[in-house]
Amino acid sequence: MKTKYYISYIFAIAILGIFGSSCKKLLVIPANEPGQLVTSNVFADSAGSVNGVVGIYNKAFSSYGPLSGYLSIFPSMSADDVTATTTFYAPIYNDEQTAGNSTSQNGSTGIIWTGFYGNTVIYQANAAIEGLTASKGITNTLRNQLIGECEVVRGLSYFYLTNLYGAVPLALSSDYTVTNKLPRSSTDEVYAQITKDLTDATAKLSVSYPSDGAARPNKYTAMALLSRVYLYRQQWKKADSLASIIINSGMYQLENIDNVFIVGNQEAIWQGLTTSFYSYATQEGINFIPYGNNIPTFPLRQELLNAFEPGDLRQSHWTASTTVNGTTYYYPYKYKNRSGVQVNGNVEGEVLFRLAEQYLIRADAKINEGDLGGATADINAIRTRAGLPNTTATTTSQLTAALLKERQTEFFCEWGHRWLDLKRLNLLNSVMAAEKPGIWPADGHSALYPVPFSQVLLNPGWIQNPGY
Amino acid sequence: MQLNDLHKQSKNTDDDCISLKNGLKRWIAVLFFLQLGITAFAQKVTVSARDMPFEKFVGIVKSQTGYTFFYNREWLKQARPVTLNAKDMPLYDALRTCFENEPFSYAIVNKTIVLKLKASAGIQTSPTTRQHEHVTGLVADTTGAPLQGATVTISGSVSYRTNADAKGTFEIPFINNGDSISVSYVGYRKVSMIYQGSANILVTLRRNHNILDAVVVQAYGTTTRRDNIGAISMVTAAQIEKQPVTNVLNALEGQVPGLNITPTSGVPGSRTLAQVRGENSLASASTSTSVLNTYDQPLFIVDGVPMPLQNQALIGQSFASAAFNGPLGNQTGLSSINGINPLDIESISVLKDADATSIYGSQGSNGVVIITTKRAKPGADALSVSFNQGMTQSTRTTPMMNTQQYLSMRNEALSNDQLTASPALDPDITSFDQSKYTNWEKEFFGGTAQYTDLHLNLSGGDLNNTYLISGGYTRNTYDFPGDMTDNRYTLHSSFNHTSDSKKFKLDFGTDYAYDQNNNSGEPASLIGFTLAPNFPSLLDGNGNPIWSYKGYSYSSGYQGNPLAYLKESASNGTYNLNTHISASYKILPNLTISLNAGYARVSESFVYELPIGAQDPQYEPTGSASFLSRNTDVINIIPQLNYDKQIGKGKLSVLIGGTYKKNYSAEYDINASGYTSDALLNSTSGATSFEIDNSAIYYKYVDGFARINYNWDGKYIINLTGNRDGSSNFGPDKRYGNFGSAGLGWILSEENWVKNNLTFLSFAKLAADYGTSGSDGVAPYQYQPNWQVAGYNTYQGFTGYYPITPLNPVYAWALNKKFNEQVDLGFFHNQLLVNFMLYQNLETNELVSYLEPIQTGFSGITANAPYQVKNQGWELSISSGNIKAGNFSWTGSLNMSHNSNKLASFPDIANTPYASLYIVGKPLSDIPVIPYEGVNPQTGLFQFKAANGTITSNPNLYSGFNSVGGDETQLVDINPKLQGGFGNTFTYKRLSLYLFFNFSIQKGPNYLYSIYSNSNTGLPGTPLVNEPEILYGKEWKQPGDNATIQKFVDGFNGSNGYAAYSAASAFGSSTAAYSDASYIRLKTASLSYRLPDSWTKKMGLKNCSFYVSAQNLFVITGYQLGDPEALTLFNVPPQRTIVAGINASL
Repeated sequence: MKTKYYISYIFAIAILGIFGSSCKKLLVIPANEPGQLVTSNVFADSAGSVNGVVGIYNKAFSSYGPLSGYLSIFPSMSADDVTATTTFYAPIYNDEQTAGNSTSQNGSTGIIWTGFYGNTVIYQANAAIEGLTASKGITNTLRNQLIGECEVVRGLSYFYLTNLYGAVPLALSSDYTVTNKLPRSSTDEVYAQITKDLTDATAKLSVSYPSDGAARPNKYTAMALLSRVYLYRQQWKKADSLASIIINSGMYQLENIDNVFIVGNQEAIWQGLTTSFYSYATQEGINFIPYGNNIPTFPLRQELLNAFEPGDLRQSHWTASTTVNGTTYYYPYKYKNRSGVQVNGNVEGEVLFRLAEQYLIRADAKINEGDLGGATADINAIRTRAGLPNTTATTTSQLTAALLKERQTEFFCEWGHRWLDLKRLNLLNSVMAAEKPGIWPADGHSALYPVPFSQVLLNPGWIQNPGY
Repeated sequence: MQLNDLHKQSKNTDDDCISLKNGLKRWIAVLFFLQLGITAFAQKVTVSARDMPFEKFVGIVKSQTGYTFFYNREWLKQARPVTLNAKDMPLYDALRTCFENEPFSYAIVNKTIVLKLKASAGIQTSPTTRQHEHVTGLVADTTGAPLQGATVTISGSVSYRTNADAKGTFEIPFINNGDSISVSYVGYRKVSMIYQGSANILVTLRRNHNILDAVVVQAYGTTTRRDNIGAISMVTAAQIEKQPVTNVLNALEGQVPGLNITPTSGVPGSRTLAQVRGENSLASASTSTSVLNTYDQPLFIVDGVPMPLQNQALIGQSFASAAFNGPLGNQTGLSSINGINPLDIESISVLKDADATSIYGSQGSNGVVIITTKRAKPGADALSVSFNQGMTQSTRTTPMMNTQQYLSMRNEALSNDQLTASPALDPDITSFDQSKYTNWEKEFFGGTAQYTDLHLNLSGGDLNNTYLISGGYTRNTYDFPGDMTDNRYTLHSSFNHTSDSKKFKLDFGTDYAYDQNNNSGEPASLIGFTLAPNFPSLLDGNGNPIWSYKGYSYSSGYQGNPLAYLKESASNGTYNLNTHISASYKILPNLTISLNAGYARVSESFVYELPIGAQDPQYEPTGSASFLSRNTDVINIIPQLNYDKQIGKGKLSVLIGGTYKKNYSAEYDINASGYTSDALLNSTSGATSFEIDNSAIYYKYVDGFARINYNWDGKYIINLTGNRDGSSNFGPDKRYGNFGSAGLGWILSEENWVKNNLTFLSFAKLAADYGTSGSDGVAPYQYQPNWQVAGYNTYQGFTGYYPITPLNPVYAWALNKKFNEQVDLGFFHNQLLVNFMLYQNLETNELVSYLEPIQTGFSGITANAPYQVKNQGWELSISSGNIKAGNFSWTGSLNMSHNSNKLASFPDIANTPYASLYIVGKPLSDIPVIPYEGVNPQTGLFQFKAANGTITSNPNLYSGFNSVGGDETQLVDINPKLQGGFGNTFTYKRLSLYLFFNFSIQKGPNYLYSIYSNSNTGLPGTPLVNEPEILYGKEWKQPGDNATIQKFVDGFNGSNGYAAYSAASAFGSSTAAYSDASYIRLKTASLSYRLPDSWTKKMGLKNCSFYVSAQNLFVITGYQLGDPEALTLFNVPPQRTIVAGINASL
């Protein structure tokens, strides 16, 4: 019967079709998910490689990224730049309102830890360095430049991590089986890695920016961070010489006080561009400037207001005030744009490094090296820009005090400078105990932030910072 | 057994000696009557025979032509060897040639060659047999309806098989007294009898109520309860049809032991979750709160085709998406299961153990639900109509405080916080009408919705070709303000073809459904019932939202304007297509080859519109809209070989097959904003800015499987299955896995010592099986280091990439080891059936997003977890036959099950990220809680016992079992202890009442958990937020009070508020937030009346019945407020549906 054979053939073909063809072929799906790339695609050519690194900036400077301004807000609360008028931020920042509630669970500082360690900063830098090293499709010049950028990012991340948290895990690989059981490395070990990264980056990066303006790190950016590292490590000569190279390069100059935070200014050594919805405004502007007739979320503390000398342009240009229900509140006003408000059509960007800091690093180094004259000149350079007369300090101790005050009024609410200065100069306990009596803990444990509690739980064997 | 001889015995008295004359006469009559088919002459045979035994010749002709022979075996003794050399000789000639020498003559009747002794041969049949010719019969059911296609088998001195025609009649050419006649028909009890000489036979078949031999759908085929040794529970159309539900999963609640059904919301079209034999996954178990992240669900298969979306939610945020901290967390949304009309379902099989699921390999790990749609049956064309109409209301809504109680709470809160009411923050006290009262609970949940269901079914066909087409329309409105509806249109069809030879079978069917769900895209409107009772009007006279009252802006409150949210329309259009074809061919009598192929597609389009008119004008809003679409396809091809052979006293069945499955899902999203006219929201053209996104998911799966079943003498059964699987979800080197099972069954009741000694036992079976199944339940591509584009905004022109997964090639199949044993008993002629099962499942190598510390770059990385999760439990089901007493009859069923799970092992847990989350040996459903210590009489705050024994209102909200400093030192298990259902059907004459109850003995989060753990409404006392009346008067007011509720506070700012907030947060993690949530629910009540046949006949109907059905009529529970199943106050409560309807067929 014909139909019988006919039908049998159909079945036979169907079965052969399934079992006859290789099962491997039957399971073939496209090489990657739509809208996604794998590491080898990313670093296959120069365009992909650049995107593989620039993605760090795109994420890190966007609304909730770790470089979007939190480091200008949280440590400023911890120190004596600002206070907070909402309990949301209160527990960890030694704020009067919630004294005693400072437990490791409640702090919002966890965002710093997870932000840096998450997939878009340290991990991405690690993965990019590996991908760039293995890439066969890019020139050595591009490879060096991009690896250098990653090393600056990694160095910067570990600089803040170790300064805020103390011992931290040193993740340098994209292999999770290597990093998931890391112990916390001591501050010395972390600094050794930072120095290594930045020294290498200094060698790899060129003087000219890979970007339009200072939006991505160049050689001087690596040096600017390295000089800060040497300052913190009290390697005065090295700090002095790196700061001098930057100052003497002629690429940067101290800007008019109103232009310091505007994109395109001559003072910025690295100025990140915000990629959030209000691309002209930074998180500092959005968080510090109050809406309408509201009480500012982070009013300036009296100690800072007291530190300004009369006529200091930084007080008149970098702070502002508002009166709500008869009370006047002062707030940081370095960044003037916020959501919905763009002052004079300016675009502002996140200034991570600027020339003023190099002057004050060199002044610091010179005081310690005994070159008081040089130190005075550098301090005066900053004072002049602030519309102030030259400093009256002459002795080492006077200059040291004058320098600290200069750093306080120059860098308030900027990248945690005040908090880290007090810590590295061992002044934190005395200053905080005096300014926040009854709140600053006697054992001074608040000098370090708590490691996010969830991370302590995820890393059996880790010990939380003392006091939490 | 039923045999009625209605007609008189035939009067063939001279049959002992058949005269030639008589014979000829009859021959002529027979030939004339049957109209010898002309086709017989067209049939050709090729035979080369020399002295071939006659019987062999018969076999050759049979195989070449398909014709069967009909003769008396005794005659063969006289048959002579055949010598014939024929090539393509017409059958007629061949027969004539060879029969010349034989002592037989022949006639061709249909396709049967009927042999007849030649009188001249002088051979006599044995004197004891009485031969009858041309016996006719009729097969009918108890109502007298003919059963077309019933199989009639004659055995004994003759061997013959025929089928009843459309009138139910059949013909037997020859039969001898003492031969046996058996008549069988699917769904009816087989009847056998000994022929005693009547010329006309009437056979009445009774419906088969013997559950033991009823068809049970299993993986790739069917079995019976008698022969099945695995754990399969089946729900049939009869149980489903009585329940007015849109989502068929809701009709399964309490019906299947071991199947946990959890509706997520009372919103029409919302999801219902299903889980077989407990939670296997640690990834999905509760961690710090009772929110389940995922919830492992069984594999859903419809007519052999896996459902494209399984039981996932439809795309888009809708009214049903509200989570509000209920125990179901993010498992809400609209259901994709709604694409099947429950009335088109013939049966649902739930496969639970290894024996039943192993053949599905990787996909059956969490059980399998096989949905079989209705198939056509032979019979005259019939049209049946079912229509019902009814209403739906919310049950167990939450009574809220009235204005006086509310204002007293608010004033107390302000005074506790030492605040004075300010017009800006406390308009409820300063500017709102102090005597206005609106019962918002009633406004939002007090409505009545409509339920309409219409179903038409047309079917018919003959023995070889049958068809069935049905159409359905279901409409469900919301008992919530606003114009929201769920409309479903379904079209189901089924066509079956069987060749004349019965060797070739074709089954083809499609299901098409279109569901349009119009609702609100803003679930926040669900907290509208917490508005202050003196809150001003929300809408003006024209129905437009009002946004302020005496300077107070509604937008500044928690609830905004919930009636304005309802104007944010969300519309889900879902188009479901499922088409399947199954063809089989019997190559050899024992061997069947078949091919099942299916294609299913779900197309979803979701449109969300946020009109300007639904927003507060003070912010100068513009309109925005989202257009989402997703297509999900499944292609599924399964070739199979079936081999059946009788070996010794046993029957061997072998199934070998393979699967090729391809899943593809593509989603396109457009979010458009900046509309300045609401009229343009239905198009992208009025928008000024866009976000466009697309994504796709690829999945391929292949497997080869085999099942060997040997059933020895109906006593001993062995069943082996094996499966080799490949899945594209794994890295190239990890794609294949092997799974299998072995099962043994022993039917004791077939043993003589049982038959003789335990006569009360009509059936007894012991069975046990053990096996494995796997899971490839991870997202694809997780094994490679993937990057994606960083964002819409560029960094100096670069979009940038960022990594989303690390290189991770090592993970592979998860493995679930299952052990099941059962006792199946029948008493009183199987009028009472009892089944008891014990099971133990061990989930190993589970695929999870394994927690990692963040220095790895990720918070979780796909991996095979090292732990083992054990689920064990028992299931009991009891069902009765139809117990009759006069006009009254009763059937009943009961099932219950218990499941407990625990983390069986976790090597070196102390050194893993899970150290503080789980405790080895404890249930995954355990939630660590802090011992509650009442309200502090001095501070008025909830207080708790910390791990160190001190009493505090600010404890450490971490587990005290395994993390440092945690104060959660007790455990609450929210896994139900016992679940089940029982149903009874009472019939009195034509009146029938069905009552089905389901029950659960469990603990769950109580209303206080809802109030104190809900971040949507703040703490009691918060401005403009009303609270359940039950709190009123129980709160702490002044030092020294022994209250049960902590003091009311205005908010959680300030140190007082912060302390109250800390205590409230701790309360949600305390022993007091959980209480008994056991319940018994009258799930279904249905009363129906069948009109007398005499009436229906007059009306020209075959039958007609009227009914009233109710779903969720009442619940008995000690759960204080809210529904014990919903376990949250902030969701649409479960609905009570009452419908009246008619079923008629003509």
